Formats: sequence, C-alpha cells, structure tokens
Amino acid sequence: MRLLSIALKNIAGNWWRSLSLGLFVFLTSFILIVFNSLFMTVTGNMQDALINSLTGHVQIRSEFTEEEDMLAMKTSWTELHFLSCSDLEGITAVLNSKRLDYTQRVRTNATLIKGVEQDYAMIIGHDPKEAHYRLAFGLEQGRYLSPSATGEVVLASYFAEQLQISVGETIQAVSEAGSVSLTVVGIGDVQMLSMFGYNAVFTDLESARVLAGYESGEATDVIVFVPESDQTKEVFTQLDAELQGVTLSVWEDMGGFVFNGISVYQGMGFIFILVLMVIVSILIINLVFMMGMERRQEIGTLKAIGYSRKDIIQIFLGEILIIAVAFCSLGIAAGSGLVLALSNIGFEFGPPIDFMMGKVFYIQYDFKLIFPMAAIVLLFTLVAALWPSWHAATLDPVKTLRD
Amino acid sequence: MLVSVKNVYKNYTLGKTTVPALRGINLSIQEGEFVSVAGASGSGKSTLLNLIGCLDKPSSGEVWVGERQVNLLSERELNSIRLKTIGFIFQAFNLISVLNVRENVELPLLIRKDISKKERAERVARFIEAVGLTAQARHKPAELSGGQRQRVAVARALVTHPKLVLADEPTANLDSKTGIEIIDLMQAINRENRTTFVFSTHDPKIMQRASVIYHIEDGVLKSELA
Repeated sequence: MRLLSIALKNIAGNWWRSLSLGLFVFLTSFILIVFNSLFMTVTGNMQDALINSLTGHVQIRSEFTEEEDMLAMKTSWTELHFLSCSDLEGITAVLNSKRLDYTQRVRTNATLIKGVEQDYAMIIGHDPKEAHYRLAFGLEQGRYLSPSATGEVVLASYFAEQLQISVGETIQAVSEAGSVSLTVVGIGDVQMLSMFGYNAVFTDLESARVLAGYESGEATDVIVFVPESDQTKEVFTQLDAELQGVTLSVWEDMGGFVFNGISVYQGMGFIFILVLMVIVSILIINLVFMMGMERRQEIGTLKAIGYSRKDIIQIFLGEILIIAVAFCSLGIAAGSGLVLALSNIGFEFGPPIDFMMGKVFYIQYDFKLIFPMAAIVLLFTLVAALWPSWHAATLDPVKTLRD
Repeated sequence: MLVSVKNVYKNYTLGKTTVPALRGINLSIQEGEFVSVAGASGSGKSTLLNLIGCLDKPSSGEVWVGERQVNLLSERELNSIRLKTIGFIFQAFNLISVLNVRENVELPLLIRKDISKKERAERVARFIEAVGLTAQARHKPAELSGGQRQRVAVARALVTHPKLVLADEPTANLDSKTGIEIIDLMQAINRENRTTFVFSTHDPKIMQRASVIYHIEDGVLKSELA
C-alpha cells in the first residue's frame, strides 16, 4: 500500500505515458466488448436458427436412429426408423406432465414437381400450431402455415427458383410411399443455415405422413423446447431417466456440420481476441520498457537508498495495474454503452452478408461478458508489463547514477 | 572502525580493454569523522564511494562496513545495509520529480516495516525542519533552487538515522556560496549527531572543511591529511 502512493504520484507525474498506456487498454476493452457481443450474437442467432428450425433443444427418437441424421444430407430420411403410436403416447404423457413445449415431426424425402420442373427435397412435417420455426424461417413472400389447414407448404427460396413457383401456386410432392398436392403459402429461408445448403420445406404432419408412409399417430421424432438453452442438460437428464426404449439427444450433439459452422464463428472470435491481445501486449511491453528507460535515474536512486528489485517491480506493476483497471473499466463501460444503444436498432442486410448475419441483425449484450473480458485485458496487461518491469528493476544502479 | 577498505582494486572492462579505476586502496574511517575524498575528475573518487556504499563490488580486496565484509554479501543483505546504515547524497540531487519535498524525504522510510506511520511523519517533519525547508514541504523539486534541492537530498539521506552518509560531489552543481552552506549543514549534523560523512570533491575550499582528507590520483591513494 505504501508503494502504491508512489505509483499514483508517478501516474499523475508522467501523465502522457499513463494516458498512452491507458488508451491502449481502453481501446482493447472497448473492442473486445463490442466484437465479442457481435460474435456472441451471431453465434447465438445461428444456434437459435438451428434449434428453432430443426433440432429443438432435446430430440426424442427411435433407438435405432443415428445421432446426426437430422442434418446428415447423405442419409435418406425415408429410411429412418420412427416412433410408433404407443411410443408417442408414452412420450407425450411425460412431456405434458412436465409442461414442456414440444412438437412431433415427420421427416421424409420427396420429389417436388411443378410442370416439367422437379427437385429432390427434405420435407419436415410438424404441427402447424408449432411456432418456433417462424423464429428461424424468414419469409420473403406469403405467410407461415395455417394452424388449422392441411395441404400447405412453406418453401425455401431455392426451390421456388428451381421450380419457378410463387405463392398461391400448387406443387406435387411425390415419394415411394405416396404423393400429395401442396399449396405454396410462403417462400423464404432459414436464416443463416441456408448458407450451409439447408433448404427447408415445412408442411403439416398429415401431408408429411402420407409421403413417409406412416400411419396416423406415428412420427419420426419429437423435439422439445426449453425456456432457456442452459436448461437443456437438466431437461435432457430428467427425460432420459423417465423415457424407456427411445433415444434422446441434445441439440449440440445433433448439430452436425452446422455446429461446426458455429464453432468456426467461435474460433474466429478466439483468434480475434488472441491477435488483438498479442498486438496490445507488444505495445505495452514497448511502452513499459520506455518508461523504465526514461526513469533510469529514478530507479538508480531508489536502489541506492535500499529499494529491492521486488519493491521497484511492485511500483511499476502498481502503476500499470491502476491504469489498466481504470481504463479497462472505462473501455468496458463505453463498449457496453455502445452495444446497448445499438441493440435496439435492427441492421438490415442483403446477400451475401445476410447469410452470415441474418436479414435483420440486432446485436445483443450480455453482462456476463464483463468479467471475463476484464480478466483477459488485466491479465495480458500485467503479464506484458512483467518483463519490462523486471528489466527496469535489474538496472545497475552504478550505471544509471553515472548516466 | 566504521569503514575499512583493504587493498581494493576495481577494474572496468570496456570491450577488450580493462581499465583500472582503483589500484590497491587502503583506508579506514572512524565513526563521527567528517571525511573528504579529493581528487581530479576520473581519479576514482566516485568508484570508491560506490564500493563503500555497497552499490558496487571490488575486483579484489575487502570492503568492511561496521562488522560486515560487504563485498561478500548478497544483494538482499546489501539492500538492507544501504537502507539502514548508509545515506546517499548525489551531485545531481536525484530527487523524484513527481514527489514533493515531504514525499522525497519519506521515500527511504516507506519500505522500512519497523517504522510506524506516526514515527515516519515525525521523522520527516523533523529533518525537513533541520534543513530549513518546512515552508517548502509541499513543493515539487522543480519549484526549488539547487541549494534547496540538495537540502532535501540531505534530509532524505539522514531520515533513516544512518551511521554513514556518502556524498558524491554534493556541491558540484551549486554556486560556491550555496556549496559552503550545504557543507556547513552537513558539518553541523556531523557534530550534533556524530553521523559520519564521507564526501568527494575537487574543490579545495570544500575539502578544507573536512577533518580527514584522502587524496586519490589515478586510482591510487596518494596522501591522507588530518
């Protein structure tokens, strides 16, 4: 504490150097908060798109199916084992008793035909009352599936272009098991997942059952939505204990290559932080080294009157810690303020940026970012300052006094 | 015997050349003496003071401060001796520019864990008063004259109650009148507290004030006058 008073005086006395160091720390904290919010939002949006359009938080399916078949493009959905009526009765009874939000799904493959145009598609049939897919599927034309009607379809824009079809027209869906006529009520894309080649076709359960060859009451799987993503594991554990003869998976295990895409975003975030911190560390090392050089005579004097290397390192690190804490707090406050201000403004993006950011992007702020970001900045700053501080403390007093 | 220097040699290496700074110095300083080390610039005065002050180690020979052979001690032990036994006064004053007079004088006491905050404050006030700078206690070094700055350095050197004060050309950066005043101040403290002073100078007027004068020439002790 006694040496901190010297550190404080040095900060005030060498205010230009202190300000330079503080500016590095401020900008680093500011950039880390803003860019991490950006990465976190993009990653979160992609996770939400995956969960809401495809996987739910927890999937309950036949015990003879594979974990990643949800997104395995090479696997034919027509060949999937499915849940029987009795399986579904048991599952829905448990889910209802826990008041969980869920929907049955019938997944199958079919050929979509309009006149002479045709294309092969992965069809998802679900309860039209199910609303989660709407959060992920951005409409360009038309509307979502009617909660009460059957024989409607919402198409990915890719198919609309391939089949040259628009809202209100009818297409034929044909599989080995049967065929149905579907009226196109909406055209759009699952935000962010469309860049992975996921072109969604949503219809009602009954139409999908015809195409899959299922009896009434049968489904490929049941997907469960939990209020908060961090409750997934807990709900999974509870359901896994209660449900027999079925397989359960959490969304992270079903994400397949899409989850790899999310990992790429997270990796980009980590690399960005690492590169930024290495640059800042080099700047800090240089700056503290210069501080030591400028204060050679002061260091020599302190050593002459009995200050040890440890005392001098404490003075230097004390100065740097005070500056770092003050300017890191300011940087985090400014970065948080900017993100919070921008979080109410939706940024609209067109192709190709909308593939990555979504059509309308709202940046999100998470208070949980504050402590890890502050810890990273302070840790790197102190570690970067350690060597030049030690170097300054080991200067030969005879040489410094002679200079 | 407070200081004993026995057959001390000190060589500096400059590239491939070895330059002898001190050659076979022998001297002893008694407690309470007011000693001048005289000699021309480059004669080895500062080197001798650095060895006695535990800032440097001899190439050969022995340096004793009190009962301890300081050239054999670790850095930690030398720090402790410099902190508790020796005070330093420098030609360029060497005050910390961002600290005021009171804080500069307090500097050596900040790392003395055996001295309470109250005692620290009392000592600092007493020595600032002793050097006549009470009115300037809150002034920064830049706001003081050369003589006043050297008085602060004297107070800083004395505040730890050292047995020995080493002053390397303490008057070299001062006009002759102020230089005499600083020497008078040091002499008064020497007489009052029996603190041993060893100062280097090449000014004949200043060296005449000493009770013992050592003359050094080219690293060799030429004469000792009392």
